[in-house]
Amino acid sequence: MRWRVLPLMTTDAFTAMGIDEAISQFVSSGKSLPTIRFWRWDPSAVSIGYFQSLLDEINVEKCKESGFDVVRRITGGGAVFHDFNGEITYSVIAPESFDLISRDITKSYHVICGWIIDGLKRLGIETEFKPINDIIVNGKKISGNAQTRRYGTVLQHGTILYDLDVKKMFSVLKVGQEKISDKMIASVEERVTCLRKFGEFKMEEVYQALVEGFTNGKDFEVGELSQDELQKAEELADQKYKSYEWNYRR
Amino acid sequence: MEGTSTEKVIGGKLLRVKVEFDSVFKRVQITGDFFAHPEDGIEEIEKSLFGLETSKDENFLTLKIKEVTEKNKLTLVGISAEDIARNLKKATS
Repeated sequence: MRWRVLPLMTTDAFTAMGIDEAISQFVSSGKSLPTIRFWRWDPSAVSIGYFQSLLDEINVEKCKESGFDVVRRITGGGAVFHDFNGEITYSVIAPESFDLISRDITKSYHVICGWIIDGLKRLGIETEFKPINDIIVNGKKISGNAQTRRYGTVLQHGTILYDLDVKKMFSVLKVGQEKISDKMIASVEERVTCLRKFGEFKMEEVYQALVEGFTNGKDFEVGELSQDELQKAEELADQKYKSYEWNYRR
Repeated sequence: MEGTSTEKVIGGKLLRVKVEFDSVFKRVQITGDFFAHPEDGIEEIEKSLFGLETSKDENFLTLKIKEVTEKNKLTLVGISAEDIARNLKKATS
């Protein structure tokens, strides 16, 4: 099966969520090829998982003061600070029936994370998959991933940490002791790492390595969003992802 | 009355159960950084607990939740029916 690869783009949080869901709908109806895309968040933003309580997780006032967008994802998982200068995000959208991905949710995380691992290897960084949905290097998390299965498709998106500003991150996220207490670890620096700790990589270099890792062995074409997809994405951004009802649903 | 129980499931994800109750569950909210497929299955679990006596033990609650997961073909990732039941009991204790 042929894949469509969308080159690196930068959007606000709501548009990004709208694009992912629009592509899912279009892949589901056969109007679009299974798609791999890469993107960055501007302005920087915080996203929370589908099942999280927004007020439990985020310092909303601080986000407003700092000019960070706040959005709920359609995927589960945790709260993530998306620093425009700190990460590259990817999305993979494919039919659930697609053999390459696997109907087994745990296995499918492993498959797609394998493409990230391939990409990072091209930068000389040896990483490994840590179930359920993380990629780690020397025991520290460098990539988090989240998946949903709707419209008969698999949507998995995730981030690869390029640079890490722990102070900025913790100014907006409320991380409870419950999450870290079982490992008896006091600070985030012991749990999380980033690519810049391994070399003077430029963002462009990282992006190219990821494209190679994701497309390795695949039949693909470089494409773009259709006008219909863009329109759908805009509708979803405006009517769903920006809405109070959606973001504060829990 | 209101109650909350939070647990980092060993080898799994963070689970928080918030309840409003008297002798029965009036409102249950299950939040956290876990996954569930299909996602609306979590709301089905929450709805299924409404009106259930809070005196029911953990095993009963686990089976009740498993009824819902089976009926809705719900896959929980990072938490289990047992984890939810245990935290429901803790939140109402």
